[in-house]
Amino acid sequence: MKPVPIRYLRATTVDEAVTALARYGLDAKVLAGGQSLMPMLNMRLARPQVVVDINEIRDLMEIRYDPNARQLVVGALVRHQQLLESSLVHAHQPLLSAAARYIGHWAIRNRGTIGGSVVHHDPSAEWPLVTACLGAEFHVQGPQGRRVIPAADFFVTYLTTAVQAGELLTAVVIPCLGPGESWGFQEYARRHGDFALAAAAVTVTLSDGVVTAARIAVGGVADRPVVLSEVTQHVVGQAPTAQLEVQLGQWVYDAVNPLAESPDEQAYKRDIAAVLVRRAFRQAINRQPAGQ
Amino acid sequence: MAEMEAADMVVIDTVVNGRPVHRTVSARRLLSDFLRYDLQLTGTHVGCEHGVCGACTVLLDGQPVRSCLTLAAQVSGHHITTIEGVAEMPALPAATTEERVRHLHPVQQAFWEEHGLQCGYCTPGFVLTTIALLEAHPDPSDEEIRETLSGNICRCTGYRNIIRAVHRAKELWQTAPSTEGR
Repeated sequence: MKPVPIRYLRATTVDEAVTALARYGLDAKVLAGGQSLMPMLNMRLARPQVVVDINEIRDLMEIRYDPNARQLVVGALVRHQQLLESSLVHAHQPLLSAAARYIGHWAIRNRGTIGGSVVHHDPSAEWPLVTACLGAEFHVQGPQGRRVIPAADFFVTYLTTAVQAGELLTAVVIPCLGPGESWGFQEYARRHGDFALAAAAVTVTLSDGVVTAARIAVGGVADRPVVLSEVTQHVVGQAPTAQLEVQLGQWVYDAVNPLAESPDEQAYKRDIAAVLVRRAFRQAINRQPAGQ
Repeated sequence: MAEMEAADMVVIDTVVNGRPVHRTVSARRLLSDFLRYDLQLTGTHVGCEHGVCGACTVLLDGQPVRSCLTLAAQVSGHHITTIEGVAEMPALPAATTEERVRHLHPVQQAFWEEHGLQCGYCTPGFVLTTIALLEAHPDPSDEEIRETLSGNICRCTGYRNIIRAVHRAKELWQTAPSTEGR
């Protein structure tokens, strides 16, 4: 349970990291918080020749609020615990801190980073789900310069994203909660801190007692987070009644197609997804200011 | 910008339990193994070696982290606290049992009083996590304690005495705050 012999390089700027990644190409792995890569190294599931440590790149450690664009610019190296505790996050996109609470345990959250989690892309992890739900943008830098990848294109399949060899994710740009918008987050795991069997993220905007906009996404049921835009269309224009919630559950059940080893397991995962979305939707509605 | 070379041996300058440490380590050396084999600080226990059990928890700049999921090369320029560093015990080898007990950290004292351990394998991880918890939140609720310690696995105690020990540690800490500099 030790890593294979590796070579280590500590980058202190994004340019240094990108230069190193260009130089070592597919032989190199980026080491961020290490909470996925290090177990894979220890178990020798990953055998890179070079590890490029980005933990000392100060420019990637910050959460910034952009009041004009109403978005949070989250540096790739921001730790889960930072997102859980940040007052900027609490004020402008509290869905992030709610989701962070479900990630692993304290010692894991102290090291693990949002950038590492989305680039690693376990489809049952919290950040892929939340960033997909909110329509985040991913800023990457590579030998050809910088580019921005929308969430819809970012998550490709298990452990695969649109980030190419030689590129480094530098920031995740996340829209803030809008006026009249509230949120819900639900997750089910067999044990506390384990990877989710399924998780749901929902945002709802209400006006005059009617849903005017919503975002509904489910994690853990496919090879990437699933944004349920069709289900969302059914919900928009309706009053958030108990009956709508029941219908919502059915729509989610029909819309998701989880990979499973048996029909029973598939039905079970559909059930969980439906229940979690219903609960997250209820949470969001309950968070609406009274009178909406 | 100078072209940087990836190296299989890495020079590290770190501070472990308040003492400067200057070593050259293999790039693949885990922090847990660096502490145990290179510094002979065998109080850091290794359970699962993939981040699940919490036995190898140490404090990195005061925050609990898994030392088995950290490369020794990464801690250059940072401060590490292991279980050996929580209590100030001058002339350790010569110390009598009574002297050792007198110098326990309040959290160690509380685990001892409340029987918060049996075999002791997981205990260094629990003690360090508890110290960091009480430094950040001097009066955690039962639920906060359980949530915080959920990342540490104990196969002996059933956890009840550990929770009790943390409550006891709160009291001891308030009456006799730790004086060692970390």
